[in-house]
Amino acid sequence: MSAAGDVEAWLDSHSIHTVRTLGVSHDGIAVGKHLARRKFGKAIETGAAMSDFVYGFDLGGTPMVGWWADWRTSHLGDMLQMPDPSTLMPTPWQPGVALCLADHTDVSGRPLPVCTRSIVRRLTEHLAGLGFEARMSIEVEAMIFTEPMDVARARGFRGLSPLGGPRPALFYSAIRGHEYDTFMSELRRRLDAMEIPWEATNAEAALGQVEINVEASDPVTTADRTVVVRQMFREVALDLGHTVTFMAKPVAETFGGGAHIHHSLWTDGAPAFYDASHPDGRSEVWRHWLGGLMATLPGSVSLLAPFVTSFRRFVDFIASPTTATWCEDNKSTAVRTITARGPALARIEHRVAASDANPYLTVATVLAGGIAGLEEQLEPPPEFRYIAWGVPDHVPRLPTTILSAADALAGDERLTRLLGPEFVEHWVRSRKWEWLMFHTTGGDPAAADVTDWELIRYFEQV
Amino acid sequence: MSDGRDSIAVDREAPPVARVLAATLRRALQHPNLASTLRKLEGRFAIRSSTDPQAATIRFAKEGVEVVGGVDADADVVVTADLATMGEPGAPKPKVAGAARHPLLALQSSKLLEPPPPTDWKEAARDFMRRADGRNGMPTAVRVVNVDDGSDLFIGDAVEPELEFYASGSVLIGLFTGSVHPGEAWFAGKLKILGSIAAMSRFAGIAQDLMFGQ
Repeated sequence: MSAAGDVEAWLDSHSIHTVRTLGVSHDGIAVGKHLARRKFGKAIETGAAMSDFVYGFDLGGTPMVGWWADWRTSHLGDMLQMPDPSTLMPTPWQPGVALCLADHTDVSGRPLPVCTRSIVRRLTEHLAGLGFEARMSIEVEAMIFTEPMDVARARGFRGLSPLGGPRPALFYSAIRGHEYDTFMSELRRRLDAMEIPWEATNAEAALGQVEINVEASDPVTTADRTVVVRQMFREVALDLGHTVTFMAKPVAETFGGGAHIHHSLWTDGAPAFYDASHPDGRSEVWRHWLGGLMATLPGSVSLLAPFVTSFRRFVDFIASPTTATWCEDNKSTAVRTITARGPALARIEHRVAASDANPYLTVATVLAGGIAGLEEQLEPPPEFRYIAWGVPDHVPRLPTTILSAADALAGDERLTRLLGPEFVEHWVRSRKWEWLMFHTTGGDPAAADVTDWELIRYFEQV
Repeated sequence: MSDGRDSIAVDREAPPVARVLAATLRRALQHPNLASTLRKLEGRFAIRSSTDPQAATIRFAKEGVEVVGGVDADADVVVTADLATMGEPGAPKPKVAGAARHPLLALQSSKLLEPPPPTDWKEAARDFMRRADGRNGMPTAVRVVNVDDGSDLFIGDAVEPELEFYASGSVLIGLFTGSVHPGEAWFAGKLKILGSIAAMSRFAGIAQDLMFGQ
């Protein structure tokens, strides 16, 4: 809905007196306000003021210094959170309250170059200009611990009890899934109430780890839903007296958390990744899109593995990709293509993103890479028809540190052009700031295990 | 006479402490006596923070000088010190291991890591502005005030300063020679600033780049 009358009617029909707004920072941290209904009505037109601290502070609460962009105000002034009323959704377990996704703009209403939701919107329009629509879905993985948040905080997020017990389980373990079900059924109940079309939930392999899949949708809706699902995970955990994290690797001796993104292109209602005239079904569009994903893969890693801990996930043999490779139905490569199962299922699974990645950036990174491939008619490298773990050194690797990944992104002209130079500069600088803070405020680069610095900084925030 | 050791190698992934040490050694090279010392030294000299995990090793060898993160297992001399206060008046004395077996390496390395700073903060400020000239985001003009005695210095072309710095003489010397990070000093209250956060932030970036030898 967008017309003011429609919004009022919707609010009336759901007896709404308060609207929670939800936007995300560049880091993917959900930020928002509770707005009185009449203020929400005004905010749709003029925005709700917020400090640009949202983009200027790091996760440790320190203002990031060392650079400054023209989109920022000179003296820590305001930006606006602009609710998108088309995303209004009820939260009936909080009677009278609704939730609404939002973009971030400057005070004149112009989207901030670092507003990642706006970047996804722009790239979606860009893709439409090429004649395609994308349908996407992000696998959301989370790790749940039985202690309440205040206990977890008091323990520095160490020594917590994973829901389902202290030993890893087989993937999709049914009994583990049952152990998780009090939590997950409450999560599903809330998503149903919000009309978020979840499709499946299951136990995953890491300690306390669960996964939820949501129906594929357009890029903005996909990222919106992922943000809401993650927020609901956190709220259900708080309400049930548990703790949840999306850290990519909160416990060293287990699997990490990913955010694989499945996607396909469509044109005039037909699947563009599939071409029945080719024996393997692989269309020209698919080939160039894949070529773009592969060409931008090194630069993408910074966006998909945003924090120091994200890189602890990139370890051979534990489900995460470590090489810049692709292959049909191969879950050890960075990009897994699925074209042999026919037009309805033809898609690509980009497997690099960590569970702590900003969902809008995950979507935007894939769109930008693919669009570059279509526009430049890029060809993918040869298919890597092997297991991509434990391979010789000549196989190209993904960047392995926050610093090398930031450098790779800074050197990627395609991603810079499509994501926007102002965004990429802010992102690269803020990753280097994160590196600096890790080294100079207590992080230990020699530690094999996740450090206290990482747990305190990331566990409950990312 | 110069040799390969006139360039100090540091890895792209080297931690900040290694970069600062490398930049300090490069400054030492500008003093003929220290440059001569540096070219003759051999051995591994490590510095470890007493307050956090920061550490770096300087590898002096015939082939060249390299600074890496962490303490090499075969480091000859290991100095453990509070990196945040090292060199300040009243700072705890560093602990040194290996000096008895490698006295020359310990002594000479320490000298190299403390190249004589400018005794005049104004000289340091002018030198900083010269080195930073032309860098993106550099203020058009700055005013620097030594709060110890109220003396000041104006550098730049504009009539009004874009930034004004207020600090003690020792902090100003550290700020302009790269041993004091402007952001840290500002947050800690050791440095007071008049100006926009935009100008301050850009200045901090330039100062940090120079601190890291970039």
